[in-house]
Amino acid sequence: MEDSLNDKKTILLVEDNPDDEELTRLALTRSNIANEIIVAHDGAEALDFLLATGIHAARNIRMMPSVMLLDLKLPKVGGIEVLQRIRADERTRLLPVVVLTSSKEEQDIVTSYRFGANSYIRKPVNFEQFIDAVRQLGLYWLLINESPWQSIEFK
Amino acid sequence: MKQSSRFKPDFRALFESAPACYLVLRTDLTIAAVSDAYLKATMTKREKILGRGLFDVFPDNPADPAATGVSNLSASLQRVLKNKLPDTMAVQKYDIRRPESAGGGFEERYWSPVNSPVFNDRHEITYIIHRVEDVTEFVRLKQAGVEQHRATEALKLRAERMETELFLRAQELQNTNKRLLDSEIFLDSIIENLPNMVFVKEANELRFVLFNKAGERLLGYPRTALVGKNDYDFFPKEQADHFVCNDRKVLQNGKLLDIPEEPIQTRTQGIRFLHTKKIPIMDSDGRGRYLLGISEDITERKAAEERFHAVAETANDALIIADQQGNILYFNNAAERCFGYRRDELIGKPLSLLMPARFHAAHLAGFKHFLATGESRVVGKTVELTGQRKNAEEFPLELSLASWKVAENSYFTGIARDITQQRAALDALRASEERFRILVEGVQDYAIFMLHADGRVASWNLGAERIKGYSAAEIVGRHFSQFYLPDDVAQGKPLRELACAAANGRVEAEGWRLRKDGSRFWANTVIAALYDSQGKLRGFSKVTRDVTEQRAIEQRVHDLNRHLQSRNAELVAVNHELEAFSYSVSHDLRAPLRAIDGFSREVLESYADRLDAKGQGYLQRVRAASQRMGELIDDLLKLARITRTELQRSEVDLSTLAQEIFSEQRSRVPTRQIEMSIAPRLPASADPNLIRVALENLLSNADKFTARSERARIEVGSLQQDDEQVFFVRDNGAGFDMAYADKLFCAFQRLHGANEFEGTGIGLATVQRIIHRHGGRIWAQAQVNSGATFFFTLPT
Repeated sequence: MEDSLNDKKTILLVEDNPDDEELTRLALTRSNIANEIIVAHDGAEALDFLLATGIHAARNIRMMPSVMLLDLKLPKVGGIEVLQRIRADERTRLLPVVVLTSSKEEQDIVTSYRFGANSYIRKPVNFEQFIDAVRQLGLYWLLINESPWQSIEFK
Repeated sequence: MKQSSRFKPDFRALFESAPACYLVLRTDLTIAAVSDAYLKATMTKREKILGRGLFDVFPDNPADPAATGVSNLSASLQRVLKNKLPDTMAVQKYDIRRPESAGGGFEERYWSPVNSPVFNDRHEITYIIHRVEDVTEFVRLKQAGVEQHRATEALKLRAERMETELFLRAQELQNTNKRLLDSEIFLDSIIENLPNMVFVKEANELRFVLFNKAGERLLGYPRTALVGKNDYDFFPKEQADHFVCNDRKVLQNGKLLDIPEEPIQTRTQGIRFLHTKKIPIMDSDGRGRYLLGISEDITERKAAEERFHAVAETANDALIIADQQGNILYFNNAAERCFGYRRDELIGKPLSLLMPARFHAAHLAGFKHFLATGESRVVGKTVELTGQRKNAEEFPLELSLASWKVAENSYFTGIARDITQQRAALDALRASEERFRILVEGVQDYAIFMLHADGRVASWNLGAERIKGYSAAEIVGRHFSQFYLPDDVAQGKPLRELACAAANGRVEAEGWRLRKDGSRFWANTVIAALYDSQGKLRGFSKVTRDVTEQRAIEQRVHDLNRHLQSRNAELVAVNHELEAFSYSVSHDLRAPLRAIDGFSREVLESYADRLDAKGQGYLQRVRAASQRMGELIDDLLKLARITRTELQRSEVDLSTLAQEIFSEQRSRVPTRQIEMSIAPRLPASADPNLIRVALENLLSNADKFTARSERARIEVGSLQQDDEQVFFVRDNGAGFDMAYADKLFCAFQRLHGANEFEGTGIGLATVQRIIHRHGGRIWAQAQVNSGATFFFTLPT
């Protein structure tokens, strides 16, 4: 059963802006990516989900998403702190994280990579470009990339 | 004779039993022996008198105030000792003590004494034999007989009378002798006490027969050792030869010989120098009997003279002695040097030779006046006069003049010193002091004054008067603590500063001080201790500056600085806010645009069938507008970032950079034909990232505005203008109207319509900001449809 969850290759989208949430869903749909999308609306909820705490306390912690799409500007707990916390925790340390944000500030890019982001993508204003970006990252992280979880469970 | 040699007579017994009265005296006049007859006559016992002094045994009769026995006998005995000849005395009244057994007191006695010397083989007196005849009965008879036997025997009477007369005459004779003797004693005493050595030699063997006390002292021998000896017994042979030779000459010539200086070896004082006069004493036949010598010991005088010469000749000062005619008697070495004369040119010449002619009259008048009255302007003083050298050169001299008198003659001693150099040095010092004084007094911006060691004001300059308000007359002598505030004085600050300066040499302070009118000023003061050459504290110098204004200025500068600091902090805060703002812009302004564009597209995609062509066209416009706004936001952020980032200069070759940028742009639109001309080397000092952004903008502008030109041409190069390297980017594109040149570099200002050339209007603003951040200038030259040139500088 657990294998089947991981086989399902879910996406965790951390996004507080409902427009962006909807646009991301649309972009994934337009890219023919039908994997389950779990949405956390702020950093705290994202951490609860990943570490199975708070409202997600009942969740099976071993069922991890294939990739987390993380916005940086989030209510409650910011994106960078989320990144710090999951990289500090043994259970979430290996989770692939793609920072998906409006900012093109050099400081944000550098800080994200420093705290262990696997990728940094700026959301373009032009929707065609946005769809293209989402399509590529979906293909890459969900199909091409080998998830760390299989290897762990194999052991 | 054989018998007599064996026979040893008892001389003592013989002597003692002699029928006459004998007394043997030692030279110290103690009794050595006495005859029985003497004992009987004097009613004494041998054992009572032997060894005792003669006059102790036989004193004068205290009841007879006219007694002369002791003095007469004593004089006779002294004569014997002195003359070494027997001495016969006249009849003496010499009362003797009656033994207590016979009733005590004195008994009248008359004596006829003879005193004879006894010599040893060295002709020295060993004893004196005192022989007396008791003539008391005889004298009594004579005196009584005159009364008792007047009537009896006439002859006897006459005889007695004669005897009495004889006796009386003998007494007269003695009186005469005594007078003679007294006069002899008088002369002896004079000779004896003369301070010069007096000696007499007999003419034959030149043995000494007389020596006085001064002679004894000089030669170091008692006269008893000298009398009877000659020169060879006391002096080295050469000296003795010299003396004897002179003696013979004197005796032979019968003339006095004056020997000004001769050395003599003494027993205790080494060699002394004598001035001796030798005088012959001739007998009636004209033959020399005695030689009288009188010698003065001139050793001290000679030493003093030598000392004088040694001192005078080595002295650095000129020493001149003149007589009362004003003629020079003595002229020392230094005087020769000073005046340029040799002494033999001047001895005997008038002093006036040593002074300029114009002073001669005054000199002579002063000289006469002094001799007449003893008053002088110069004698006994040290004065400065003008001297004249042999070569007529005049010079200042310092003269100390003294006068002294020998008998009626006055002499003058002058000590002169050439003070040309001292005068010059003094003049220079005075001039320098005067200059310094004028300088200090004239200084107006500083109060410069001196303090005595106790803090009283000693001097005052113009600056002090100006700053503190006191005139010199008001403040000199007053204590400097009155310049301090009363509180400072109460806390002992003025004296503490003096003590500190005395200990450390110098103390600097700042603080409020009082002017005369009671107003305050902020003073900077330096107190320095002044020491004399012995290291004793002489006083202090004090320099005070009124720095009130300076202090106010400093205060203002300080305030301004503080204001600037707070402004700076404000700016930093504003900058932070701006940063937060632009971050927020980049993040939050773009999200809605994305939604507008995204959903518009979704509507066009999924609901196209429900919109007509016009509706779709509007939605397309919505999308285009939102995308354009995204670009605007991006460019604005870029501009803000350029302002924020720190400049990091290095050597950059603009030629290489332009080449790279051009290649990138070409790769995007490879079909366009552009003639590109880039100068081979364009080195500049700039931030590589920023200057790249600037060049990108300039080149893309050139690219953009030549898009419609038939033969597009872009040129990058540099030129030298007024010692300044000016870079430029030139194109032959659309150009612009120079009337709008001033709007060229403002953000969002576009000189072309959006339908002509695309662009946000931020590019040139960005370029200008980059150039300005490098401290450079940027300007443009253009003509509509003839292209534009952008110039910029990058100073190092």
